Amino acid sequence: MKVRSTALFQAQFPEDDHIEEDGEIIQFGGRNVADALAATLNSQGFTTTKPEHEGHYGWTFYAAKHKVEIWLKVQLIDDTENYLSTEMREGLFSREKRREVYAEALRVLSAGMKADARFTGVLWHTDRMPRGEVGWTEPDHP
Amino acid sequence: MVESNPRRRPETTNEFMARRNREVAARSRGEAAAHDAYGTATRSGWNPHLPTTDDVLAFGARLNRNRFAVGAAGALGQVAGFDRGVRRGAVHMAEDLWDGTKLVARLTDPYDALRSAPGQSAAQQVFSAGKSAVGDGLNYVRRAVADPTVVAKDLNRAGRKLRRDLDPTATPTAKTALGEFTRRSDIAANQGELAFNVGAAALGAPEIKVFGGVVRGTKAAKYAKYIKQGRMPELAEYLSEPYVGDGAHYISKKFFKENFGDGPVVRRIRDSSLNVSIPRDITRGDFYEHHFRTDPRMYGARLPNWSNPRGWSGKRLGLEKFGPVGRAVLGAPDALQSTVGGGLGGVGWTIGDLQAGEDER
Repeated sequence: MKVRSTALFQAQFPEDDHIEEDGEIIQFGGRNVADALAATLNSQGFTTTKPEHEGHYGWTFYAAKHKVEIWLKVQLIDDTENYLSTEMREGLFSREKRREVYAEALRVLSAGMKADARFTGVLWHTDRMPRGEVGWTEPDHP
Repeated sequence: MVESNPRRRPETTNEFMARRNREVAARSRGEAAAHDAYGTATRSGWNPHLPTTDDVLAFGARLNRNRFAVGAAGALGQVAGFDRGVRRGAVHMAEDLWDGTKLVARLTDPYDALRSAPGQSAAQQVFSAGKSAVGDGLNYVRRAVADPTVVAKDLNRAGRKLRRDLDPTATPTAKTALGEFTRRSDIAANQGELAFNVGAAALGAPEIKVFGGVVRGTKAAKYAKYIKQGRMPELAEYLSEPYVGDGAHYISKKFFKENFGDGPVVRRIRDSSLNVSIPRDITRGDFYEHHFRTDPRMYGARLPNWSNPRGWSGKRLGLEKFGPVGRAVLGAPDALQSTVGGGLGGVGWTIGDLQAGEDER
C-alpha cells in the first residue's frame, strides 16, 4: 500500500488564531485547522497531542493509535493554498502494520475534510510534491 | 525539570504522547540559569564534551569563572573567529562578484530596457540607487548645516564602534570563559573579514565590491526585486526588512522532540547557531526563499492582514527545492560551517546564492 502524505487544500476558518501586534505577526494562523483535524482523528479512536505553534513553519501535533505515532503539520498560506504534512514515526518492528494504521489515519482525515464544508479542494500529494503533480482525491492506493 | 531519556527504556506511545503534551505546556516557562554556560558555548561554536546535565553544572561552576580558563578561552576564540571572518569575507566577495557580473551584463545589453518591466531596467535601477544615495546625502548635509556638531558626533560614534568591533582592548575582558570566547571570537571574525577585504583590495577587487554594493547592498535593490515579483509596494517594503525569527533548523525540531525530548538543554542545543540557519543580513523575503529551498516541508508563510496576497508561496514564485545534497550543504548554518566544514559550507552557500540569482532572472 502506498500513501500520499501531503494534502493541499483550501480552508475557511475563523482567523482569531492569527495574531498581530504593530503590524508584526506574533502568532501565525493554523491552530483552528489543526484543532479541527485533531478532533476528526479523536473521533475515530486516535489520541492527539495539543497543537504547537512553530512560527511561520505552522502548527504541529502528534496522533497515535495502536502504538503507531504520526506527526502532522498544518501550514496556512492564504485562502487557496494551505498544506497538511504528515509523517509516520519510524519504529523497529512490523512496518507493514504501522503503515496500515498510518493509512487509516490519512483516510480518516480525508473523510473528515470531505465532510467538513470548511475544507474544499483537498488534493493529496506525494512526499516531495514534484512540480506538475496534480494530486489525488484519495490519500492511499493499493 | 527532569527530562526523559528514551535510551534507558523504550518509551511507550502513551508515555510519548503524555511527554509531548507536558513539553508543549511547559514551553513558556523560564529556562534554568545553570544551562546558560552550555548555551553560550553552543551558540559560539565551541563544543565542550558535556554529555550529562551534571557535567554541565560542574563545568559551569568549576571552569567558567577560572581566570586561566578565561584567558585560554579568549585565545581559542581569536583563532576560531579569525578563520570564520576570512571565510565570511570570501563568501561576500563571491556574492558581490556575481551580482556585479549580472549588472554589467544587463547594463551592456541594448535590449535590457525593452525586456524589463517599466522602471526595472539595469540602468534605471542604478539611477534609482544613485538618486536615493544622493537624496540621503543631501538630507545629511542639510542636517549638518543646521547643526555642525552632528558630523563630529557621527564620526566619533563610528570611530568608537569600529574600535569596539576590531580591537580586543577596547572592551573589557569578560568575567567568564565562555563570555570571553564569544567576545574574542566575534572581534576576530571582524578582523578576519577586514584582512580578507584589505588583501582583496590590493589585488584590485574594490570594483567588484562597488558593483555588488549597487545591486545587493541596498534595501532599494531588494525592494526592486520584490516589485519585480509582482508585489505591491507596501508588501515589497515589508519583505525588504531584515528577517527576525526562529530561522531554519538544520536538524528538525521534530527529530529532537522524538529522540531527545523538549527540555531546556535540548532546546539550547536545537536552537543554537550550530543548528539554526539565518544567513547574515538576510531580508524576510530572501529568508523565506532560503527556507523553502532547504526544507522539504516548508511551503510558504502567512503575511500580515493588510497584505494582498495574504501569503508568501514558493510554489507560486516557481522556486525549486534543493535535493538532499543541496539541503545538506546549503542548508548548513554559518556556525556549523565554521565548526565542522567551513570550506565546503562556504562554497556551498555561494553556489546556492548563485543558483538563487539564476532563478530570479
